[in-house]
Amino acid sequence: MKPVLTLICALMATPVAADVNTVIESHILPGYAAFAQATETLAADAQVCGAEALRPAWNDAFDAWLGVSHLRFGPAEQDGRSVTIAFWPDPRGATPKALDTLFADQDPIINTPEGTTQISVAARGLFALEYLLYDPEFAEDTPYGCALIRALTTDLAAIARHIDDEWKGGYATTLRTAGRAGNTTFLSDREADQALFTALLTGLEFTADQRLGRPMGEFDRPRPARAEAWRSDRSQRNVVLSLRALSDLAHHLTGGAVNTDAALNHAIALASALNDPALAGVSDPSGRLKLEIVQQAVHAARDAAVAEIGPSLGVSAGFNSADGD
Amino acid sequence: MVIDMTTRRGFLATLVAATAAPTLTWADAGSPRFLAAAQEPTGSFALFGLTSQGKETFRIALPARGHAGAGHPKRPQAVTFARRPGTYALVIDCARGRVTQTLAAPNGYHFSGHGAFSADGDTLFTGEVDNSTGAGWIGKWSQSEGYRRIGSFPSGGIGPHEIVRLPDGHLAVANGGIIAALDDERTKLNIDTMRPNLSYLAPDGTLVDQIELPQDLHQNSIRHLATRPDGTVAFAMQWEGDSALHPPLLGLHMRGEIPALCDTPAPLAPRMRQYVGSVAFDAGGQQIAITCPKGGVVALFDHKGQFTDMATRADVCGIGPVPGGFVVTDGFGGILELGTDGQRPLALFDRTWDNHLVLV
Repeated sequence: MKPVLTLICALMATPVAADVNTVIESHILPGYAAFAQATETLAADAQVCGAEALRPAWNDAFDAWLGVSHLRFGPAEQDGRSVTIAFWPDPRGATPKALDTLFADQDPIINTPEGTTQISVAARGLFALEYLLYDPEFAEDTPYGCALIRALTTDLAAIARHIDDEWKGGYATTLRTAGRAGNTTFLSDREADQALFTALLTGLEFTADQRLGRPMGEFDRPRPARAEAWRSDRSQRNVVLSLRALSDLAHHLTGGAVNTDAALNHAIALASALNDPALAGVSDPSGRLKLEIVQQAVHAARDAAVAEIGPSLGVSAGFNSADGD
Repeated sequence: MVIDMTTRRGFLATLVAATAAPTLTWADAGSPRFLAAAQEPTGSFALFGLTSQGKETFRIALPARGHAGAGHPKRPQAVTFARRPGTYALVIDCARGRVTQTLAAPNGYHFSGHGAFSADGDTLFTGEVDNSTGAGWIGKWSQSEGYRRIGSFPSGGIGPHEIVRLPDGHLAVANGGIIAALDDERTKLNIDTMRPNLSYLAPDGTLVDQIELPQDLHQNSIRHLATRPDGTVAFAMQWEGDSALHPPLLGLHMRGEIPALCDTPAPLAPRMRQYVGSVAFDAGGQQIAITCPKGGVVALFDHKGQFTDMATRADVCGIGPVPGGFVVTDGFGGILELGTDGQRPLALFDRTWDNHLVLV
C-alpha cells in the first residue's frame, strides 16, 4: 500500500509521508516519559512539607511539560487533561479564586485522589502549584497548604502517567497505523501527518500569540502581569523551551526543512538573549520592542513551516479551520 | 456506476420533461439526504448529493467555491451561494445535473451565504448585506416565476449569516453583528461595538421577536442555526473577544422564552477554539451538536442543552441529522457518523468537504 501511495504522490508533486515513526519514537514517547518521571519525582518530594524546597522539582516538571505541551491531540486531550495540567491563560484569576475557596473552607475533598479530581481545574496542575510555591499569599507552609500541595502533585503525576500509559499502550499504534483497516481515528496516513503538522503550527501560534502576545498587550498598555508563569520567573524560559520542543518536532517531522529549522533557530536565539525572565521588560518601550522582534521571528517560523513543511507533506493548515465562514 | 446511473436518470428525466410538465422529485437525483459542496484534488469545485450513509448520489460541477445553500422542499432543485462576499447564487437542477440559473444580489449588496425556502417551496429567502452599512436584509424570490425577485425586508440586525425556516413558517435569522470590509481579509470593523441578535420574522417581514445576549457576551457572534419541530432554535456562536476566555458557544431558544446558554466543562471548552462552524439537532431532536473546525472537535449536548460528550475530528465542519445521531464531514474528505456509541467512519473521499451539509 505504502509504496503505491508514495509513487502517486511523487508523480503529482513531491510530497513525502512524514516520518511519523521517528516523531513518535524520538519526540512524543520520550517527551511524555520525561514528564511522567518529573511529575512522579515532584509528587515524591512533596511528601515532605516545604514550599521552597519543592521549587526545583516543580521547575523540572514544568520544563518537561514544555517538551510536549504542543501535542494537543490524543491522550493529552482526553477529559481535558492538557487544560488541567496547565490552566493558562487565566484572565479572570480563576486559579487564585479557587485556591482561596479551598483554603477558606479547609476543604477536605483533597484528602483523596478521587476528591482532588473533583475540584475546579483552575485549582489543579502546574499553575495552581505555582501559586502555592511562589505567591506570598499562598506559599506558607501551613498544614492545609502542604496537604494541598501533596494532593495536587499526586494528581498531576497521575494525569502524566495516564497520558504516558495511553500513548505507549495504544495511541502510538493508532497514529502509526493511520489509514489501515479498522483505524477509525486516522482514516488515511495523510491524517497522521496532518495531526503532527497542526500541532507544530498551533504550538508556534500559542507561543507567539499567548506566551509573547499577552504580556505585550497594546503598545500604550503593556501587561507584564499577564505573562505566563511570571511568579516563578519562568516566562522567558517557557518561550525558549517551547520553541526548542517545536524545533525538535519540525526536525523529526521532515528530517530536514532547512528554512523552518533556520527560522526556529533564529527565534530561539532571540528569545534566549532576552535576559528578561518574567518578561517584565515589556513595561518600557525598548523592552517591548525586543519582545515584538521575538514574536515576529516566531511568526516567521510559522510562515516558513506552512510554506516548506506543508507542501512537502502534502498537507495544509486545514480547509475549513483556516478559512472561517 | 454512479455516473451511469446519473446519466440514465438524466436521460429519463429529459424524456419526461419533453413530454409532460416537469414533475421531477428528489428521487430523480438519487434521493440524497444531504447536499455538500467540495473542492476536488484538481482544484475544481462541485456540489454532491449524499445519502445518510455517506454515499454519493450525484456530482455537479460548480464554477467556484460555494458556501451553503438551500434544497427545495419538493423539487430536486438546490440554490447554492457563492463564498463570501458573494454576489451571486446558482440554481441547480440536481436531477439533470446542471446549473439552470444565476441569481444576482442587488447592486450594493452581497449574499450572506445562506438561504431558506418557504414550506411550499414557492419562496426563496436569501440573506443579504448592505455593503455600505453592514445592515442585513432578506431577499424574496418566486420559485414558480423562475426565481423572479419579489421583494426584500430588513433582517433585524447587522451582518446576517444563517437563515432557517421554523415549523410555523416564520424565519429565524442569525444577525452576527459584524460589519466586515469587502477586502480579502474580511477585516472586521466594529468588534468593540458589535451587538449580534437572533431575530424572528414573519414571511412578510414583520419582526415578531428578537433576543440579544447579555452585554458581557456582545462579542459572541450568532452565526449558525438549527431548528426542532417544537420550534426550539439552537444558535451557535463565534467568539470575537479575548482569546483567553471561553464563553458558551451554543444557545437554545423558543420564542417568548428566555434563551439558555449551554456551558461546556471548563477543561474541554478551550478545545473548541471559540469557533463553531455548524450546528444541528439529531433526527429525533434528542441531541444537539456543534462542529468546531478550528479546534477539530464536535461538542454534543442533550435535548435540554446539557453537555454530554466531545468527539475529535480534525477540520470537521459540515453536520446533519440522522436517527440517533449525526453525520459530519471534514476538510480531509471524511464522512463520519456520530452516535451515542462513538464515531464510525462512513466514507473517505479524495476531496475537501466545505463548511456545510444542507439537509434536503
